[in-house]
Amino acid sequence: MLRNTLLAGSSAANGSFGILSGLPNTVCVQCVRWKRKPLWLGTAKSKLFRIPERPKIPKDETIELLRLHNNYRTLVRSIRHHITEAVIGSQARVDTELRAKQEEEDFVRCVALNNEWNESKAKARDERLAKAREVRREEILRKIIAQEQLAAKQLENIEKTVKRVKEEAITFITEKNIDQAIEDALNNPVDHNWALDLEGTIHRGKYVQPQANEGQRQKRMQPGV
Amino acid sequence: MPTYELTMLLRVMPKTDIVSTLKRTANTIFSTGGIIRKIDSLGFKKMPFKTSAHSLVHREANYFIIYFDAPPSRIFDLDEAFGRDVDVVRRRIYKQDSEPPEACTLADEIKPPPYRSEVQKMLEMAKKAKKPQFSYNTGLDYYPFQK
Repeated sequence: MLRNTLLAGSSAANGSFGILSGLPNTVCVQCVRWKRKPLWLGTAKSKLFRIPERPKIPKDETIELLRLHNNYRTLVRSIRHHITEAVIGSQARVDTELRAKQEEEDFVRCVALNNEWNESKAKARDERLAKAREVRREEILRKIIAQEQLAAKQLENIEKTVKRVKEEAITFITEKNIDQAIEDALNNPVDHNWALDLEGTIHRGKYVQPQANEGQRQKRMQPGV
Repeated sequence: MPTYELTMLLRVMPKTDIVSTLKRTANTIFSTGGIIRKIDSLGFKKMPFKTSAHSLVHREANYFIIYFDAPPSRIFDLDEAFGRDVDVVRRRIYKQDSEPPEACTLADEIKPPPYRSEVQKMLEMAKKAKKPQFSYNTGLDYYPFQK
């Protein structure tokens, strides 16, 4: 788009209209952004066997050009040498002996500083560890005491239980008195189907009283008969 | 040995058979090294629903509760033995509550909700869990513009 516009402008300026207008020549800008042949396409057919003519430079002109070029190269080399010399001369010289001595001194200073730090750190560490040890000792002591208390409490509970069971043992039903116990149970059916009001009165009998187990008629045959 | 409660429903049968079944049950418990604390008879009652057990249909049963101590490792065997007994319609073994009963809190429970201590505790928790919200600093408890 730009290219077309500029070409049109230039042609207009260079054409008869431009001369008549008396304006100065417009700059001709031709963009060849997308119109060039790609490099990989190779030589065109029409240019395949064309041998470009070598430029013919006269002998004296070649000599003159060579002289000028030699002169130029000599000058540039001398300037470069001069600048290199100046730079090297301005650089500070390193005194290796002094440098080694300084390094030695610095090392000694660093070692002293490091030792100092190590000492202070060791002191702090010892304090910290001592404190931690103390805390741990107290913690262990506390745990031992708690364990002992727990064991004592458990023993007390066990003793209490044993005492209670010993007291209850006289009422236990064993093989000796099982017949009597069954007889008593069958003769005295219990009924938990009662209600309690806020005054503590027990209300019974709303539901059907349980029948005693006596007088049951067997309603069906024994299994397996 | 912990105390267990054996709830047992015996089928309808004469008293002598009931006695012998109970004795058999007791002897099974004794054979594990256990003892019986108490035997309760709840009487002869209708069952809440008809039940089939050992190829027979039962509509009534003799209800018993046996409180006994036995080694916990033998409870499974006991239960299995009772299950094999053809006179037992249903049975189940429970561990007796050994915890002491809790203190009565009825007076607190019948208060209106905001006065109950547990409700107050829950409100406190909700207040603590509330995330901080952006405040407009308008002095109003509502947002005056359309959101």
